[in-house]
Formats: sequence, C-alpha cells, structure tokens
Amino acid sequence: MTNLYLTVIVFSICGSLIGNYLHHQEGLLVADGMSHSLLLGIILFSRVRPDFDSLYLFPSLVVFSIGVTLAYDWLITSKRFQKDTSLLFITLSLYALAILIISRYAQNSHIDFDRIFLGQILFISFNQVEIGGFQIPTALLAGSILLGLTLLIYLLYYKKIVHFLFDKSHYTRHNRHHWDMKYLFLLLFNCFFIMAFEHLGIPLTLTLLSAPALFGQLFSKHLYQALVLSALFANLTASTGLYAALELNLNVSGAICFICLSSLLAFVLLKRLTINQKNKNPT
Amino acid sequence: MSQTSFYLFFVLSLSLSSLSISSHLVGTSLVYQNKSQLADLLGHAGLPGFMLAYLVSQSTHPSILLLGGIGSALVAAILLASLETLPGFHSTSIMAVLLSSFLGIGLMIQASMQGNPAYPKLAQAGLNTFLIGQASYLVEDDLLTLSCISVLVMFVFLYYYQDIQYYLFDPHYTSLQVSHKKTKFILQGLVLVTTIGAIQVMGALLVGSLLIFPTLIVQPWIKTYKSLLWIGSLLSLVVVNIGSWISTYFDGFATGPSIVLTFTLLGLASLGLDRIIRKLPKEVAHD
Repeated sequence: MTNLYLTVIVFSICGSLIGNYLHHQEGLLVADGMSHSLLLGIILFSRVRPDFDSLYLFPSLVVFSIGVTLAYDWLITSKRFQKDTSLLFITLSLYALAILIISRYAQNSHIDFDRIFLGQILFISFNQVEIGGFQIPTALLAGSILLGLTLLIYLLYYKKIVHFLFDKSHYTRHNRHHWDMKYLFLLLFNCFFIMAFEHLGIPLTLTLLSAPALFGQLFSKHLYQALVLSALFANLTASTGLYAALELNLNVSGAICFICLSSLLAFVLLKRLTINQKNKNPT
Repeated sequence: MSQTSFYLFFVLSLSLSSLSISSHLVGTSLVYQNKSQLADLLGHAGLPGFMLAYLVSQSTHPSILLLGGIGSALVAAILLASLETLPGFHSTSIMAVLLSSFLGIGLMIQASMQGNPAYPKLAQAGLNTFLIGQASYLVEDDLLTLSCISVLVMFVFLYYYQDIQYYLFDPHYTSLQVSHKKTKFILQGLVLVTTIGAIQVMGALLVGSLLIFPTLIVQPWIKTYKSLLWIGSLLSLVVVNIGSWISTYFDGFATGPSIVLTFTLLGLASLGLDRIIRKLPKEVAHD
C-alpha cells in the first residue's frame, strides 16, 4: 500500500512541475493530442514485438511521440492550418489509424483498452526490482528518477526557464540555441507522459499535468511559488483521491480526476469570493 | 448486394448525410473563432452524462442517453466560460483539465457499473461504442433521433445565418437587431447538440473531426463564407458516405476511423497541392 501511495505522489509531483511549463507555453492540449496518437505507437510496436513488457517499448514510444510533436510543429510553421486545427488534424488522424488497425488486423491480439484508458496502478507491486536488498516497484523507481531529473533541470536552469517562458527576447539574446530549452522539456514531457500513462491511464496523466498547474496560477505571482503550490496541490489531491478510491472501491484514475477537478473548482470559488470581498471593502 | 444490407446502407447513409451537413455548418463557426478544440472537449465531456443517464434510467433509449450527454457537456461548457475569465488561466489549459477530468469520471462510472451485478445488461447497452463509435450498431430509434437533431440544427443555423455571419466576421456591428450574446449562445447550443448527437457514430474521441476537418480542407481554397458552407457540406456528405460504405461492406472497418482517414487523405492531398502551387511560379520564373 505504501508503494502505491508513493508512486502516485511521485508521478503527481512530477506532472505538476512539467505541467507548469506546458501551461505557460499553452501546450497542455498537446498532451491530450499525444495521448490519442500514442495508441498508434503502441499498435505499431505490438505488430513488430507482441511483448508489451519489452525493454524496447519505452524508447520506441518516446521516439514516436517526439516524431508526432515535430510533425505538429512543422504543420504549424507551414502556416497551412491554424494551431488548434493542426493538432486535431494530426492526432485524430493517427488515433483513427490506430483504431482501424486494431479493428481490421489486430482483433485477436490482446490490446486492453481499460489498461490504456485507466492504467493499472493497482498492479505496480507485481513488477519490482531489487536495489540494496529492498524490493522497489519499477514504476516507483522510474517515476523517482524522472522526478529527480525534473527537479535538477528546474534547479540548474531556473533563470533560463523563467526567461524562456516570460521574456523570449532576453532569452534569444543571451542563448545561442533558442530551441534547447524547448527540446529539453519536450523530451522530459514525452518520457513522463509515456511512463505515467502506462500506470495511471490517459485521463489521470492529463489531469495531473493540467489541474495543479492551474491551481498554481490562482495563488502565485512567481514561477517558483506556482511550482511549490502546484506540487502541494497535486500531492494532496492525488493521495486523497487514492484513499477515496480504495475506501469506496472506485477506479483509482477516475477518483483522483474527480478530486482534482472538484478541489480546483472549490479553490477558484474561494478566490472569486476573496476578490469580491476585497472589491466591497477596499480598505 | 443483399436487400437487407442495401436497406441498412440506405437508412444509415440518409441519417449520416444530414449529420455531416449539420456538423460542417456549425463546425465552420468553431474554426473561425479559433475554438476547434471545443468540439473535442464537448465530445469527451458527454461521456459521464451518457453513463449517468444509463445509471439512473437503466434505459438505452437514445433520447435519454442524449439528454444525459448534453447535460454533462453543458456543465463543461459553463465551467469553461466561467474559468476563462480568470487571469492567467489559458483556455487551452482549462480545456485540458475539463476534458481529462470528465473523461476520467465517465470511465470511472463505466468501470463501477461493469463490476456491479445490478447492471448485467451493460455490455448489450452499447455504452462501449460511445468511446470508439460504430454506426453499423445504430438501430432505427438512434437513426431517427440523429436525423431529427441534424434537421433541427440545419434549420436553426439557416434561420440565424445572417446574425451568425455578423457575429463571426463583424463583431463590432452595432445594429440593434443583432445581439451577439444571443448569437453566441445559439451557436454554442448548436455545437453542443451536434457534437453529442454525433458521438454514437464517431465516438467521443473522434467526434471533433466531423465538425472541423471539412472546413480545414476546404477553407484555404475558397474566398467566401457561403461557398465554404456549400463546398464543405458537399465534401462532408461525400466523405461520410464513403466512410459508412467502407464500414458496411468491409469487415473490421469501424465507421468513425474510416470517415476520419478519408478526410485525412483529402487533407494531405490539399496540403500537397498547396505546396506544388506555391512552388509553381518560382519554377516558371527559373525556366
């Protein structure tokens, strides 16, 4: 049980940190698009190697999702379609192709839609590695490494990230490669997304990226405040959701999504009430 | 071709044709307002409503399920409009959180019902098709409801056509006869009803394509809104019928993906043609 809580908390904090970057880049819907197109990556992989526990699955999906993001970037820069329609065009087409391949050619192969949509967080303890005599779930280990990397990137490049997000002209003046931060986070986001969606499912992965980031915007003026607040929000809502799911025998992903959304709405209401109160009594 | 399959294709084609035209009409407004993702959001947000409607009524009648879907999509639309007014809240981020949370809640309700002996007919209820969509599973009740919705949407759109044009292209038009608030409300209502209606055919995750793709393909080649509506409707009609023909006559081809991929091929052809035409004058000059 402790492993389960730890894994959910690690992924939720990591998601909140990456989600803040995506929010400021207005790229959170790209994560939704990615979730659609990754299905094709999984199907194509299963045509080559039917073993879903293969070591090659993760790097193959990362390469595939980076390819999709680059194709999306190319379509935007070609100025043929608008930004939002470009995303829909690429991701829905790839998703449709995946569904067609499943229904046409892979009907007999075992592709579990519940696993893709809802994850398999309750089964993480079945896949463990031994480190220093301790049995650690692989998901927890992978999530912790990714969280460590994300924290390290924020600590090392905090100023650079702030300039990249809020003062592009300053960033391009002082950095020879104005795209390095973009691709660093692109890689980080893709690694997180593929790791998280395997265990938490698509809806929860997206919720953990977006809801904490929006919460951070409510009560903060600086990026570091937003990062700390969203990490706290993600931690609290994810553990409350997990507790509620286990107590009420609900699906873990759905329960956490529900708690995240309702908590965010409650805080938005609170913020609105505070603003109204201030407007009524300016002194 | 057997008589039964011809009848099936004919009835299916008639309803899908009306749905494709109504979807294109309302979809153009989304593209012009840069709100294409709204169709995607409403498609995802309808899922908990379908599940709750079945949970409460235990009926699979399309009107009841549709009402549930419209209800939950309406809640999502209201939340989006309310959250967009907050400083620092980008609409893309709000859409992402609403879309994923509603989908998660819908799937949670479905998972709870699947394991519950009180809902033994869940699999037969066809609720799984809401996720992927399958037009060939539609029964006469579904097709009748779909056709009624489409005709109603087309009628309302054409009735308010002038106001919609002003709203999309001349928002500062000051005539007292045009209420932008009213037009915005009507347009959003039409988008909501069409999206939820189309879910059974296209699936919650693909429904956005029926509204957006025809405009996306036709828009670069035409100059007036009126011709966009005509040519887009014609294109949508042809593509939807090709898609439903493929899914009726070939085994293992789901309707939604068949329609989307036909649109995709046309979109890619449009992109390629555009590149060729852009290069053409340079090559002529070089020669």
